[in-house]
Amino acid sequence: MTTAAWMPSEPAAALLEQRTQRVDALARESFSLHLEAPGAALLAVGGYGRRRLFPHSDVDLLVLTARPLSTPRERDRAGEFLRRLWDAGLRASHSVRTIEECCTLQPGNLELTVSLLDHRPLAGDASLLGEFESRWRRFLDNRRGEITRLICTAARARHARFQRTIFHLEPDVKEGPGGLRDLQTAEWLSQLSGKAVAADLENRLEPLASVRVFLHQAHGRDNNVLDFDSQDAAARSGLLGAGDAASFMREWYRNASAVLRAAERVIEDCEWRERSRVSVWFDRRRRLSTAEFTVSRDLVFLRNPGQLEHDADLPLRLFLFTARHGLAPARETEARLEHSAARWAAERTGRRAGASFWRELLSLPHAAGAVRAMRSTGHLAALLPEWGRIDHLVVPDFYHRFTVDEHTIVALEVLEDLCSETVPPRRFFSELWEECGRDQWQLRLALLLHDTGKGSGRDHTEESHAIARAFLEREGFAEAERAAVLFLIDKHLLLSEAMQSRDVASEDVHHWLAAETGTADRLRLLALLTYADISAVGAGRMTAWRAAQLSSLYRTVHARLETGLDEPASNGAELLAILSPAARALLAGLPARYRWGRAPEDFEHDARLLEQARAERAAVRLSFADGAWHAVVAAADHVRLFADLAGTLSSFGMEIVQCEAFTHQDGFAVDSFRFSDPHRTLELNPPEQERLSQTLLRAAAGKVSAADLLRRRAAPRLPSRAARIQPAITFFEDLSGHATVVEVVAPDRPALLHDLAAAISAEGCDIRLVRVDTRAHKAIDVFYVTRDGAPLDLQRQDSLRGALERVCGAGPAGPR
Amino acid sequence: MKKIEAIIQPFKLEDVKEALKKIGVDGMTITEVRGHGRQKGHKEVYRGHEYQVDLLPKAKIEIFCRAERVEEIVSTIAGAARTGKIGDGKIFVLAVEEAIRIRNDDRGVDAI
Repeated sequence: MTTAAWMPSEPAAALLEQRTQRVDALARESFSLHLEAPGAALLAVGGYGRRRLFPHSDVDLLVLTARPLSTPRERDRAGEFLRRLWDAGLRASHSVRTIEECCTLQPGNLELTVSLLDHRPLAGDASLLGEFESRWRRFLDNRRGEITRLICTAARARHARFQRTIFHLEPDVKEGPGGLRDLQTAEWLSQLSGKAVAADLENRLEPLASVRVFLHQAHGRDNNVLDFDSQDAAARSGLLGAGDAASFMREWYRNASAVLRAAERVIEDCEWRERSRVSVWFDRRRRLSTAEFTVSRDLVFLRNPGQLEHDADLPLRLFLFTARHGLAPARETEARLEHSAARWAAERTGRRAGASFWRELLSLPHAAGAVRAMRSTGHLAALLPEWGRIDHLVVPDFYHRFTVDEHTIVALEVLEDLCSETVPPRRFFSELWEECGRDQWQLRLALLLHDTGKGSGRDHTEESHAIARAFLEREGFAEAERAAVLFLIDKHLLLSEAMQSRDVASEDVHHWLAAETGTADRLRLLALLTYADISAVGAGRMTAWRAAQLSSLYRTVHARLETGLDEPASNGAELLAILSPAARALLAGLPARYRWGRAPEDFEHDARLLEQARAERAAVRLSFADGAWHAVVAAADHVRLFADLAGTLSSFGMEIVQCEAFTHQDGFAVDSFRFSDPHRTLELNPPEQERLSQTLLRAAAGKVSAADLLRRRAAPRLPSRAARIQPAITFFEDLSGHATVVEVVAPDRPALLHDLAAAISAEGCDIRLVRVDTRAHKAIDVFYVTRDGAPLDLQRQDSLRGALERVCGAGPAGPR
Repeated sequence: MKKIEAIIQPFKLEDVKEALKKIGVDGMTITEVRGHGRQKGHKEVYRGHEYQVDLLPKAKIEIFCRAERVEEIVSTIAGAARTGKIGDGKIFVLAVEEAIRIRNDDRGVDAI
């Protein structure tokens, strides 16, 4: 049967109806010629039963019989019936069933029951049809709950096959999320629950159907994949009113998004109704409910939706709530937010969410889910207008699977999924993610912005940098934060390109990557960004092979960075030109590591501090920034200086999270400590700040012993998580030409740093450089140690290892 | 007919593909593999843990060709994949008894 050529300007629904009518006539004619007899009837089922018969689609027919066809003559007649349809050019997809078979929920054959939901009698024995209708209604009444549950499960499984996203670059318009199958699912579930289909859903049929008709007609077969060529062709033909492929696809995603949301809303309702009363009673997450939000069935509802009208910060609080608890807004909540998003955005014009909002949101454990919700309700584009540039953006290539915006959100989800990775080599990245601790938000923000420059036609990294810089400045991020995020955006392709085109076994490449990244912290964030970026390209892209390559590259460059800690500084002429003579002298006397992570104004501050120390023997600068306290002490270096300063801070109850110690060529030390004040002592008692500064000065001058100060403090109690960390002490002889490098990994505890440094001093060793980091409950301390100006010999290493093991409470010696 | 199997450094894959394309070899199968020859592996230390990296990432290229093209293809692969260092990889040439194109049942060199 041929179909007149359809033009995109014509309604697709009319075409489907016309085709259905013509096939009805053919099917009835063939039935009357070959199968018409008492005890036989013909039903249209599936898409054909719904009167939506697409060109080149199968014609779903069910021959209803009073008893199974048993004689060869009966089978021959059925064969003749079908042959006539095939000869007419129809692809008949048929089955022959009894009423009993139709009204049985057959395991593994949900399709039969579902296709019968759309059945339509065409011809045959009226009494048989009447009996079928009566039995079918009873069957539905009895098995309604079970059929509903099976349809919901099948829909969830189908969504999972497509990674639960509509944003595939080449979507399947029938089976993919947001496609025709979801529209039908909503219709089936509405029919089973006796509710009318939502009006907005009915309006979505036409755009979806027109794209499918276009595809079937263009390919001359039942092809439902909207590939790149078809996207171009559809846009050229003016389908969906689009002028180019990008606008056409945006329109497609808009429709698919609406269909998916409507279908999920119906599925959620059905699943909720089908849950047992006991499971509702034990809905433990209900206790997370607050005065503003109700938590039910793991979904967030607004207690007072009217509050959206006058409380502009309510959506932000909702997104923070979802990010904190890993809950999704209910479809109903999403619909309300989406409905009010445009007005909300207009009212907020000129007002920014601010750096503190982004910092908090992206530090929370389930930030990706919140960002996804913000994207679907339109709030992400309102807070970050630059997002609009990549919203639903298709960049045709045969490597990526998702649109640019979806790729970005999937990358954020990859990071969260890392927490559950237990199999090497992916587990390695899971540990790196945990090590990131409070820097996690910077990585997430960089990921959120790293591809915003795509689609501009220019170098997307440069474009993303410009967009990100404007955003970071507008939102009020600190300069160091801006630099950290922009670094990640600038270098987001560095490691993947190195793996692809450089000899990663070459020392030159390690040196180059170490120079490009600068610090171990940056390298860690960059490795994780690379991992997430590659993984989010599509399922299966981050193979174990590639993960092993990336983890090995990370470890090698990390070791190279540790090696370079005490390399002499080679200061750029540009930098020197803007510094004062004192700052230039400071840099000339300190190792290169000192420069990393510091801005020129830090050099000036430290240079003044060093001058003051030369005059007064010691000087201290205490400040608070970015949620942590920062103390810099310049003093004449002596054996126990570093240990005493660390111990002094611990004696005040401060928790050291990061510190560095450097010795200037002139014999003065510049030690910096970043620490948290868990009891807010310094904040609530400003005089304590002065007392801490004075005590640090006295410790630096050797007038007070940290051991004495610490004796007054109560014995520390280890958190339970720390108990799982196995202490490890590693000596590296070949990392530095001047010193032995000792890395201590141990469960963190108050005064650990003081005890380690004191143990090193007690062994008669000099600490030339320290790099200390605390990641959750894990302390990672690297000491560059010498004795009499030279690296330690093996005997001295063994002795020091024993002393450090006693401090860490380690059993046998760590790996070497 | 011959089968050429080349195990090369992953970062040389693009160079090799490009060189093969220049001599008219478009069909090939590429697999991400791990292994080592005399290069053996090495140890990496991170945060006090030792990682034994004894199976190194490599790329494997498989090409089926007529016997008379073997030398040209092998020398092209070797030239493009060579860095002169341990770990550059190896090339194997194997005899192939038969080739069948599934679509139309072509046999022998016509199926390549």
